[in-house]
Amino acid sequence: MADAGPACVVFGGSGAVGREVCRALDARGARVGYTFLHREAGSADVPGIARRLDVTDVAAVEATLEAFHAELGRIDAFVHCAAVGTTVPYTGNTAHHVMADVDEDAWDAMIGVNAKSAFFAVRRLGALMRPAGGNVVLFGSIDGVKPAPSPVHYAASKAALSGMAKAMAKELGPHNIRVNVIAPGVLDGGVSRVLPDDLRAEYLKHCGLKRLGRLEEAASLAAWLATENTLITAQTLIVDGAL
Amino acid sequence: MGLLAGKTALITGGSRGLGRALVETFAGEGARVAFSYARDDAGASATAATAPGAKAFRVSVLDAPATGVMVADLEQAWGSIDVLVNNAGVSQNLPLALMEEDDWDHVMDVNVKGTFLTSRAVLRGMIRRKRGVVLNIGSLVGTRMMEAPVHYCASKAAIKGLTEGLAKEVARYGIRVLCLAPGLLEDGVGRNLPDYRLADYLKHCSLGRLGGLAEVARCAAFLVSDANGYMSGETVVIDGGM
Repeated sequence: MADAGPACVVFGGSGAVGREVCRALDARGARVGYTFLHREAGSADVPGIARRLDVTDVAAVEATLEAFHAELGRIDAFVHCAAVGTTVPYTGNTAHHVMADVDEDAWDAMIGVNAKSAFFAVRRLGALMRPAGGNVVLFGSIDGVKPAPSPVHYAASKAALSGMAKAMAKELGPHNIRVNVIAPGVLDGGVSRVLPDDLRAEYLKHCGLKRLGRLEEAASLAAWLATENTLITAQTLIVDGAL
Repeated sequence: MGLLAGKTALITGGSRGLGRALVETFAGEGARVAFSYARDDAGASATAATAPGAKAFRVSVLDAPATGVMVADLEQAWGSIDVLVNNAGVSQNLPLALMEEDDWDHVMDVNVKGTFLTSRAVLRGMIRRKRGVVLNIGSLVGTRMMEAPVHYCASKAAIKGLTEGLAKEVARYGIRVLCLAPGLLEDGVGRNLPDYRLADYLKHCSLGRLGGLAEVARCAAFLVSDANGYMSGETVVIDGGM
């Protein structure tokens, strides 16, 4: 076991970002366990041990982490990629959902998948990752850190990750567990597929590099943080091409 | 294959501390490396010994003509400078009331004007080639309220602003500009802190320790690598969670 690569667990590993994260971790020699809810198209060749998980089921989140811990022998890193970009039926409108579109169920569903699941996963990992410690990486969003036209409940769910990461870093730092958030701009896949065309054009106009981010560019940072980082904690790292 | 295989990198302030660690780490990641230093020949020799093939230039970051010659030499030898790390920096522990105008000027000059002058010299080639990465070494004290010499705080806050403005300006050429802002390091400008201040820092640091030079240098190598191609304008704080 001493020579085996780091053991990494990825939530949402069949999604667009998650599968690139799994691949980047695998390329770094990590042993990967990942979860999926509905196997997304194109995710058949994701490397690692796959388990089905509804991240809104707290008991299942804990049981899944415990199962991966048993299977991999330990957990050195966790990457939370499970997310939804919309919880309101998509109507093909060119505008994102404004607050009036978001009812209580839509709010709860968004916060449940994007934020609450991260809290309960890290709550369990805080114990499972001891005594060696390790890295927790949460996928936030530019919408959670910079003013951007976006669904308010989505921005809130992603900002919640940045907030919880700071307090988690304080609480878990003495156990050598680092907690960071990656806040990508608009990527060429993932939740950005629900971004209306006019907002995409507006983004490209203001993005310094004048292009969308590639999924693998967000994934490579996640993999670096998961397997190499020893000193960064409590941070939200923005990856938005100089927006 | 290393993260920086095939890349060329110029690092200012390479005769000690983080600069030396950057030279060693970048070379270890496969880059061809050059570094500049102001005065310390013995330190420069020690740095050169850690990275076989590294080119050393005794050039102050405030000497614009000599910087121009150095950059021309490197572009001649390498064809391009792909990565510039503006690392040269100074500080002095002085309360503001006792700070002379010369003290202020010296810190602002080396830390801010030196970054401007070296960046200007190197960017001309990067703009021509439409690629390149500039990494500025900032500081935790330039990003949040800390007890530290005010000229140093001001200079490092300026580096963050310079990073953001320059990132916007040169992104159209495909050039990325980043800032890496360390907290206290084992062998950095904070090494002269009184014991009580050090104890206070460690008490509030989530990881409860000072940063190592090598771990900051490894982070720098990732930040400037092609794997990180979509991050620009960002200040990455690496401080163990203050």
